[in-house]
Amino acid sequence: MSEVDHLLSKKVADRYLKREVLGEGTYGVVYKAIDTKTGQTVAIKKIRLGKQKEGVNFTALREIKLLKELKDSNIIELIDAFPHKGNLHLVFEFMETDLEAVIRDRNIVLSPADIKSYLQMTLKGLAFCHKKWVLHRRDMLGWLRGFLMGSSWGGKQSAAATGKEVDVGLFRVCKQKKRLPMFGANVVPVVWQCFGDVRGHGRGDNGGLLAMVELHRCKGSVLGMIFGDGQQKISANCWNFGSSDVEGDALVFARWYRAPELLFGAKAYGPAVDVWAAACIFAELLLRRPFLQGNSDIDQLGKIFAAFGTPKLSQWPDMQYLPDYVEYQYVPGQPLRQLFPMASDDALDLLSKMFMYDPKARISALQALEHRYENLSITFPISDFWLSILFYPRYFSSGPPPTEPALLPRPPPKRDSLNPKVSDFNQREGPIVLSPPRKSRRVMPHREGIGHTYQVDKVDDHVDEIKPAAGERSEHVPMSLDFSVFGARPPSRPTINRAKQVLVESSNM
Amino acid sequence: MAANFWTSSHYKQLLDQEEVDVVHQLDREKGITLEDFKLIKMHMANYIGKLAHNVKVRQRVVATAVAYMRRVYTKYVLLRPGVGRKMFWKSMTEYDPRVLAPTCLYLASKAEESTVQARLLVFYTRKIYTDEKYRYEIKDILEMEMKILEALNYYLVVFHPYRALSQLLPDAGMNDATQICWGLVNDTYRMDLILIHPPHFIALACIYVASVLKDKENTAWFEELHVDMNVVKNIAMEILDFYDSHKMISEERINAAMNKLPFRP
Repeated sequence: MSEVDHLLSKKVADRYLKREVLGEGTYGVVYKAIDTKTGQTVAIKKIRLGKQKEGVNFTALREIKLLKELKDSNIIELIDAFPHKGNLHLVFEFMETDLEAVIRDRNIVLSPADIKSYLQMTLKGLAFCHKKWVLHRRDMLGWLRGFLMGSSWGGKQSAAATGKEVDVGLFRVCKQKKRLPMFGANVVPVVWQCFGDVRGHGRGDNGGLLAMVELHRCKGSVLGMIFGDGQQKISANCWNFGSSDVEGDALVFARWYRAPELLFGAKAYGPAVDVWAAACIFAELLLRRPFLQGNSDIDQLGKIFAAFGTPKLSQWPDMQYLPDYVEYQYVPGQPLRQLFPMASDDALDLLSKMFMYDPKARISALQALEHRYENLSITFPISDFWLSILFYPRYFSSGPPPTEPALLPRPPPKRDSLNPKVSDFNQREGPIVLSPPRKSRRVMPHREGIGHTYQVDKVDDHVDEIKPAAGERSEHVPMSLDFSVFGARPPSRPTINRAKQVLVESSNM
Repeated sequence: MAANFWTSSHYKQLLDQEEVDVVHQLDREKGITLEDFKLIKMHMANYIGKLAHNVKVRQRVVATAVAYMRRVYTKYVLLRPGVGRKMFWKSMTEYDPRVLAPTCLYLASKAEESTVQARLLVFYTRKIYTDEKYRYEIKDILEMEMKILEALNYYLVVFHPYRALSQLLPDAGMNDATQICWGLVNDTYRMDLILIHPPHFIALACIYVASVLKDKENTAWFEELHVDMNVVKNIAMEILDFYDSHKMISEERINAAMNKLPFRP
């Protein structure tokens, strides 16, 4: 690096005053810092350069690439980037807390209006990404960490405070075939494409889950010199997913937030996977604990089916074509009302639409924002727009309006910023949301609920205490999934019908 | 990214031909003329193409790499309200194209999600060019990668004509001309068209040239598109001009231009 370059990068680096460490990500450390030029608090992510001489981390590069294009109030802003001492530093707007901390903090009471607000922000961010054909695909720690709250929250510039989607390292770009001709004013003329080596073999029909990928090859140029190997893949009528790490693909979300099509090993999937994950967060906001906590992919599907019933082919015809599809023993599922006793009717209606099995039938993020609860007991001509507004309340515009983001409850500032999770576990009782890495722990309710917030006591690492606690369960505990489905009676083990899996199991014996 | 080209950073970064055709002060001091400048960029595009052919990456990666390379040497002025102007413009004197070109390919392969190992690039460069001036090590690539990221202001998303082409051709009933159009589009990367025109216009111009070459009457189809045909025709003329002048370009002329570049110590 030349002298001038070096001085320049030092100058940029000097602009930010490094403060405490906020956390450690998959490919770097995140610091809190003050921008001396604007006085703003920012978060700086230092990206370690790999020792294997691979240059700037691939995932970090993807994050930079997409964040430079995705500018929206519901998506974290990448303010600046600079190299310093051989490492790349990304400057983000500072976020005070994350949704996981909010849900976990039992001192926080979330009103239905607050839940509505959180869900609305999540869906807005998602809808924006999907509009740009980017899938969110949160990483293994789940969405909650990734959903941070604005720093200006309740403070000086309250107007600007919003929830934001962050950490787009696992965002991926989708492509979709557009109809021709495409030269209207607001029609997309060129579709962003990000073709990897996925070769989807399509069986899905219109807008189906499975992508039909064709391969077009053209070699050479008019000048007779070969300009690389010209190759293009075109996806037919469906969302597809460009990726070079096929194996990693099904592992996009933390298991508990994974949509059934991913659990069945879908290689080509669409924005519906994000909606499923958003639905899981919605459920988690209502319950104050993770909704479906499977401890393996098979178990996760079992939990899903135990809650909503095993899908029938009529509900989800494409299911049988998925690579890892196995037939499950039929279980009837539970009424949503029983799973979420405190939720309003319109909330349950929206939830059921977001938890639809067939990704094609699942509501989109945008539709969810405009969701309308159609109470079937009232009938009148559909054409009557105003009547329908009156009688079909929308989740986001009926009942209590969503809380202003600036007024949302928030956990107290973190003291031990290096490892806040540990202190939380030791100091507080109550509904503690566990992240997948701690999935061996169980959440056991054995106290009365207050409002819709379940008082759930956590049994730490003492696994042996779990059983007596379950036995002591008193009658007035609100019905929750842990007990009604998985706690009280043993979970119905999924039956594996596929020959291959049986073979694997028998060979292990 | 951004499915919508019109809201993308690529669209916002489109320039006029006159803005692209400016040689950096430092390069002018070395005696590099505009013609040399263009020749070197073309030579580097060819170099990227050759290298890509050896390491086997998709055409899209090549296209993105060439676009990066051209952008680095082009003056971009960023107006930041309240903060002031920031200029992104690198000279060939400071940023040796012989290292920059393979690094662009390296970066593009990551950005387009089909990573190529740096050591492969080093290996194949040695195979293609025995000249010592083309020599570089992995650490040079990694160092240059960071510099390129900065020079590009971290904008990595580039749109290309290929996708529009594959959609337009069947619509125009010209599936038989896929090969020739694809080749034409590949050749447009030897010019600065990608910095100047929206990619679907480049695709249309290539179809236009192809339909002239193949004697296919396509006027009605072009009229139905409601695009500014003058722009399409101008691009087509530029492409044809390029082919005309390309015949005159000899190895010696390229070498003469390359020799004006200072050799890295």
